[in-house]
Amino acid sequence: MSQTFPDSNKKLTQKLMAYLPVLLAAVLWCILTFKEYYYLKKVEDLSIFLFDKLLILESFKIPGGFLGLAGSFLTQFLHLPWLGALIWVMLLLLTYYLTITVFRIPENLRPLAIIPVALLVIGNMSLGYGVFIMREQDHFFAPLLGYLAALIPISATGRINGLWGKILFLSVWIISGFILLGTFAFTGALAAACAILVREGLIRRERITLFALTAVMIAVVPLVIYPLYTSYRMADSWILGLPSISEDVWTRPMRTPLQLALLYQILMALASDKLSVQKLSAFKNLVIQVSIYIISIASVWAFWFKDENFHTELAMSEAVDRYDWNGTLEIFRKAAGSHTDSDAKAYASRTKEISGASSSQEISDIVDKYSGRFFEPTRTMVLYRDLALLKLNRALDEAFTYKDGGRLQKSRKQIPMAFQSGKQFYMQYGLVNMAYRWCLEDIIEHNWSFSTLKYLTLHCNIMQESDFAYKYINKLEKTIFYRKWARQQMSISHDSTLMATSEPYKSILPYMCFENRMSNDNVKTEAFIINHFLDKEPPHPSAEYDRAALLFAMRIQDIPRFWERLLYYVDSNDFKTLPHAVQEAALLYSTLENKKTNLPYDKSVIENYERFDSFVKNNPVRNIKESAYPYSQKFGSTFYYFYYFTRNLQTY
Amino acid sequence: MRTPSVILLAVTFAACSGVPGTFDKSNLKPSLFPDYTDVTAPSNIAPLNFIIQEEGDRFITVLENGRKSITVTGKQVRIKDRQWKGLKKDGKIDVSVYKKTGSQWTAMQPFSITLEDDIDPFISYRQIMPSVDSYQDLSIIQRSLESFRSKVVYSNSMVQDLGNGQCINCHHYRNYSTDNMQFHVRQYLGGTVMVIDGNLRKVNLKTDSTISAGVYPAWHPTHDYIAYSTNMTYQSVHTVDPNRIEVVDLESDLILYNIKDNAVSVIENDPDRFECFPAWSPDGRMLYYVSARYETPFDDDRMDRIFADCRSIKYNLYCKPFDPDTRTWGKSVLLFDAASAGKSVTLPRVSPDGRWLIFALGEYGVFHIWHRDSDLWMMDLADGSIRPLDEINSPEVESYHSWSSNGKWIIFSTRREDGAYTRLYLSHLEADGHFSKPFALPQKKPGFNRNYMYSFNIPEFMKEPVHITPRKFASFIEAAPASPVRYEPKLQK
Repeated sequence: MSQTFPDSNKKLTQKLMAYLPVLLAAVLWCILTFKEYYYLKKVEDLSIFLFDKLLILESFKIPGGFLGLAGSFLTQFLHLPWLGALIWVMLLLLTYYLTITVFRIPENLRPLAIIPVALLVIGNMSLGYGVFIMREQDHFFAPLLGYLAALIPISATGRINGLWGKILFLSVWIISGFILLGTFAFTGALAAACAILVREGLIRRERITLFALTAVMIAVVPLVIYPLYTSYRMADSWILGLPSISEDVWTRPMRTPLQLALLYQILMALASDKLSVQKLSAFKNLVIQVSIYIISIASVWAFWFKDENFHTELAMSEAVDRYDWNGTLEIFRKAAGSHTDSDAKAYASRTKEISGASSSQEISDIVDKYSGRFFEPTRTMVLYRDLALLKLNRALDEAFTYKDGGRLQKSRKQIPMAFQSGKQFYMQYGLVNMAYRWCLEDIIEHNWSFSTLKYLTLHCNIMQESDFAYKYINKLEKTIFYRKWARQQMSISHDSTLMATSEPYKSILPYMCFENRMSNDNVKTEAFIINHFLDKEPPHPSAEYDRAALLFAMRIQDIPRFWERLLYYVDSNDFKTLPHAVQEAALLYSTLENKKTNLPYDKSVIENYERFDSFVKNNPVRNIKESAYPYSQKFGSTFYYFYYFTRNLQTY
Repeated sequence: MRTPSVILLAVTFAACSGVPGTFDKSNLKPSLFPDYTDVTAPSNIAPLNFIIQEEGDRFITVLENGRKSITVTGKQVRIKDRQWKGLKKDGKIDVSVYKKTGSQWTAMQPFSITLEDDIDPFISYRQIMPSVDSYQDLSIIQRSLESFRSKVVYSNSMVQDLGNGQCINCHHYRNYSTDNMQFHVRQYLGGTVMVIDGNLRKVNLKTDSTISAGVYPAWHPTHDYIAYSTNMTYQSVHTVDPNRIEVVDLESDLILYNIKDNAVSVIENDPDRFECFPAWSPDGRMLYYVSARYETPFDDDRMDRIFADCRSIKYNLYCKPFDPDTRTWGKSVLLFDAASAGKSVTLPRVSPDGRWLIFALGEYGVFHIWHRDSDLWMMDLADGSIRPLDEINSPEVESYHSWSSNGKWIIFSTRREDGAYTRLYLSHLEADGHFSKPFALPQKKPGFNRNYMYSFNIPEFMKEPVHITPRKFASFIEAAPASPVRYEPKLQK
């Protein structure tokens, strides 16, 4: 049965389909700008572009370096996510329209051009934690630019008359393109050769000549050019320009969408002559078109990295970099608060399922099954939160009123905290040489970035090494968005009084009261920081230092350490009453140890502890994970809850 | 603090075009980067380009040698190679810098560049980003001293991939000639890469009887031996000290590699001593090295104890007689008891005439590139006297150093420019045993050292460039397994 549309509907449908890409681009821009704001900021923060001749020349050390340079140039605009996203989305739209034009896609099959766009979006937005370990930080724009550049030979050879003219162009393209664009030059040349083959009606000898010459050029040019370079392996000659990541486990998923997009070019070139308008009914046409859109959009949505903890970490990281401690807390609070209902639902479902369970093993399995459905922060989130609380001098009152935990990264491989946020924590806790160390590791493993330049500048200023600081400030002055910050740092580098009153220095310096010691964190940032604070009391501790040390003693649930650090805390801090969480810990520990203390507990603390004690007696815990939720509803903001229900957390 | 300038009457320069007709005269020399004021440079050195670090609106620099004069305008003084050659001919270049502030020209105190004694035409160094554990981008670079041309000898990027990192270090030449040279590649495809009379060889110098493969090399000047230290080296980070990073040896000994027999034998392996940095006398009959006494059990906590005690580990300077024909050793002799003076010696290097021995002296330890107190000192081997090379040293690190083949020049690594990036400086040995004012290795763009984000370490002079191409090194390293060496029992006189 054939279905037909009335003409008016047909026109409307055609119009809709014509404007749909623009509409989708607008939606994508909105999602990027508002939902992926912090991801875009992080991509920019981990990238580098300087108006520096030396850096520009360095980029030509490797074939494809120009593409990276262009990608880095555009990536800097992600500093203003709306602007960077706009540029990216506009380039995606250009990709869509150029794909249609270059491959001469007929009107009824235009949605096919959304496929490479979708693949390019997937390539970027599926990256997740991989963003922290990319080798080249041009990855947001460079693949897209590479795809667009690869269309050039397909289009150009269509305009050149005569086979030998086309072959000559392809030869020049392969040589110059390889130097500038890397492997994209080859895929473009291959696709162009395919398009010539299909479109020009060549005789067999011409076909063989065309393909043989293209293949030989692609095979030989990298070999001939290789001796001119000393910065890559010969075996990598045919993959230069593709994004690379310092962990093999990430490389394939990162590259696959892009490789598919490039394969698409070749396939479309081969199919370009066959993509004539089929005589399909308008309805069938619409179904096909809509189906392509739906599949593409669904694929993008499916691969888009939407993990909430990841996004919360990014937002908290950005707030920490702005020294916005209240903002950092607010982000955490919001993330935890948004799960209140889902946690309750998960608990209800779990309770229902447990009621039908017949053995403790079965219950345990159900509890494990549901554990992922409850909100649990990552250690990075917890550390950001504790840092903010310490900076606000609220940690010992509030640190245990928030949800705790140690959810693993939703990631192909766990990215060490040292690479993700090590320099931030080390710097903020005054371990400035450790921050320096991780900046160096980051540069060598993952290239320079605005972020490392900023932290190196902070390090140099704190160590009062103005000549050294100038090295980094000089680089940041060659940027669009960090020039002002660099100039501020320049003033600070020569003025220790200004430093003592400026953020972040004024809140870092008080932690730097410890004596130097030599140590290695073995890529375990949290453990290192905790051990640092609990290792040895400095000769002249600051109040801030002792507050942090006491908090970490409470975090590791080490009772003797707690009492020891409490004494130091009392010595160096002025207070009317002991902070709330400290009272709770002291009351719990003295009870556990059957130890009499003459600490002045608040009445509310004693009453709350009695309520907790009585609740425990009436609601025995058979499985910590199972009982955590109901207990958290009543005592989730107490140190008791933390002590009993947040145990054996791994540090990273 | 600047002293006030003395205003003098107008002076007319007839000889130099572009020079202001009237100007004040300052009694200060211009501040330059790099500082080339009143330096003695090799007569075959590349142009000493510099930046004038003075406040002003316009600048004119006049370089002249009595017969020839060139004028450069602007803050950046870059001299063309042809002009530089003409200027150098008479052995002295007088340099006058004029600056204009508002409408007033000022002539800074003139200075001169003296040109003496040729230097070896090439050096090589390792280009490395300051780092702790990671090493993604390391290269050995050879640089012409007569021009600004530099080339990669070998880069680890040519072999390693993302999952297989490779460290490269300790390039070294026999008697400044590149037909016999070596460097180590570590981890991925590791081994010691040697060029023996132009032929490549890759060996694994580790044996069951030695603690590691060879590390710091010293090629015997007359016979086919290379002395090496063997080291178990670890790094740690100072949590707050300005030195930032500490490198220590958990164990170290000295070995001798016999190239012909492909065999190693022990030179020194006292378990309670760290022996390191061998260096031959020019006749090859004496081996200089450093050694520190440290007694602690070889258990799991050894590393922690060594790091904790590292400030008390002090190296002394020793020498040990050697008969190259019989390959027998005499008894070690203490040359300089640095430990008793609370200091620590590293990197002894003897001048080609055998008269002088320069070493780096710091407060403790052996890896002085991370010790800001490290300075260069020199011992007169004729009478055993030592002195700090105050004319060379700076408040920052001075560390690795090499003598030119004619013994007239040294090149040394220093972090004097910013405290962090290692840069190469040259200095001339005067007849009285003192060095001339040190100056930075000239660069085409004089601001290069400030902008460049790599350090340069292990500077070594070469009489000729390395003839083997980087690609050949890379192919060889990829293809050739590291052949094992034989262990020979220690020979003692």
